[in-house]
Amino acid sequence: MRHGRIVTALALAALLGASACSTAQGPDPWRGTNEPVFEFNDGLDRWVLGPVARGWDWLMPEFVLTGIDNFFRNLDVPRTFVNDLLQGKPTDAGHDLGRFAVNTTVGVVGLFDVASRIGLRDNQEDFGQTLGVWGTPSGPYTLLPVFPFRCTARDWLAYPVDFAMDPLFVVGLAVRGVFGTGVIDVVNRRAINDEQIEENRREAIDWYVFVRDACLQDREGEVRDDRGLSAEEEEELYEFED
Amino acid sequence: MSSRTRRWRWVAAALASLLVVAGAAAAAPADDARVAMQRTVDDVLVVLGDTSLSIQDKRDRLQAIATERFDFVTMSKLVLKRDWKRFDPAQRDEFVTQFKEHLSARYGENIGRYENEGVEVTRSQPETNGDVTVATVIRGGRYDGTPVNYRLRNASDWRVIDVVIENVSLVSSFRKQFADVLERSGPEGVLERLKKRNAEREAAKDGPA
Repeated sequence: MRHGRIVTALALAALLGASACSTAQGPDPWRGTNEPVFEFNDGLDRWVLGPVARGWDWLMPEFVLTGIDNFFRNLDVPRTFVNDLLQGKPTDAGHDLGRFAVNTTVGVVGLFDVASRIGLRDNQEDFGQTLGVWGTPSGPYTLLPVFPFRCTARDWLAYPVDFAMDPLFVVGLAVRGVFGTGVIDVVNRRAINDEQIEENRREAIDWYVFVRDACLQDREGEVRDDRGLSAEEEEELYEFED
Repeated sequence: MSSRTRRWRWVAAALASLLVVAGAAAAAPADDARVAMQRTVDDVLVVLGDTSLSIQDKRDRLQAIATERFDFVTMSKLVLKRDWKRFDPAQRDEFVTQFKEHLSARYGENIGRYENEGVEVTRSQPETNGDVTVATVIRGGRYDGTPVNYRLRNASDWRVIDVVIENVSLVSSFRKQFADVLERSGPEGVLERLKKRNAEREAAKDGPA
């Protein structure tokens, strides 16, 4: 439904986060600590978040799930807007401001994604991507217990900045806590992507590596935007010797 | 106007038309690949829209489409890359067979989930090595707006060699996963893991748990 969404969901599934660093050890030098954290988060997803999300899905009609998701993604737009500007993309900034204006008004506080229907499609930018565009390497793959939002050292460092740009944070942490809005967003997104997540978990050749790679690839792609792979990456991925 | 000028004009016009022809020829691979992909998408949509089919029937038919339109030998070589050499000829055949089964079944399961949804082919772009990337977007339903890019290579015809869903390349994902298994338990370990996944799926099909 949204850019980066299946992958976000995968990260959510395991309650983790993502990105690559090309050191000699590969992107995961901290595997020793990441793996137990992954096991813990994955267990939480299997036994708590997954069942809760399926219950939620059973209770709620499809349009409610979509409406809630639209509402939260609309609240991401101020963050995206600021990061568009920081990345020197005024056209995208205008586009995203237009999206926010249309969806907040005509779309009733963001419940309906009217903007997509008139060609203003969803776009996601965050401060981690901005650091990447500025040339900051992603650093090691880094997982934190319980919190699924990011998965590289760079993105975790950038996370507080993104959090401060969340309008619900600006309104007040207390409000967010009282209404448990963050929890609703997580459960709702987990519900929307449940089939995808469960299938991947069942079918993955190696679930830990699958989730890690999906998150790292996605973050690299988001920093790269529409620019293609480099010549070396192209060759590494798409050439072989018989 | 002298005849000399006129002659140069004619030469210029001839050169210009040559360039146009060359341009058209250069654009052709991207167009051919796009047509091939559009055909695949149309076939997929017919299956998805056929209300007389059960979910399992749909998955089986989508799997059959994937079997025909994907180049599994090339995909296998790309996924294993340098490790392809570690597989003996029999192991290579076995890998291609099992990987084909795994991928086409998962393609069926994934696409089969897109009920009441459309797939729009948005653009095609030639790559430097002669491959073509055809971009598609899921329209409607839960996964609305999800970008799915297919990379096609022309051997005897245009066939898919990679699927990139929201920045995540399938070839790259499998390469990373197999690399880990290979390091620990070699080609036999990889084959065992693939066979196990395929057997589990077949078992689930026969009797829903």
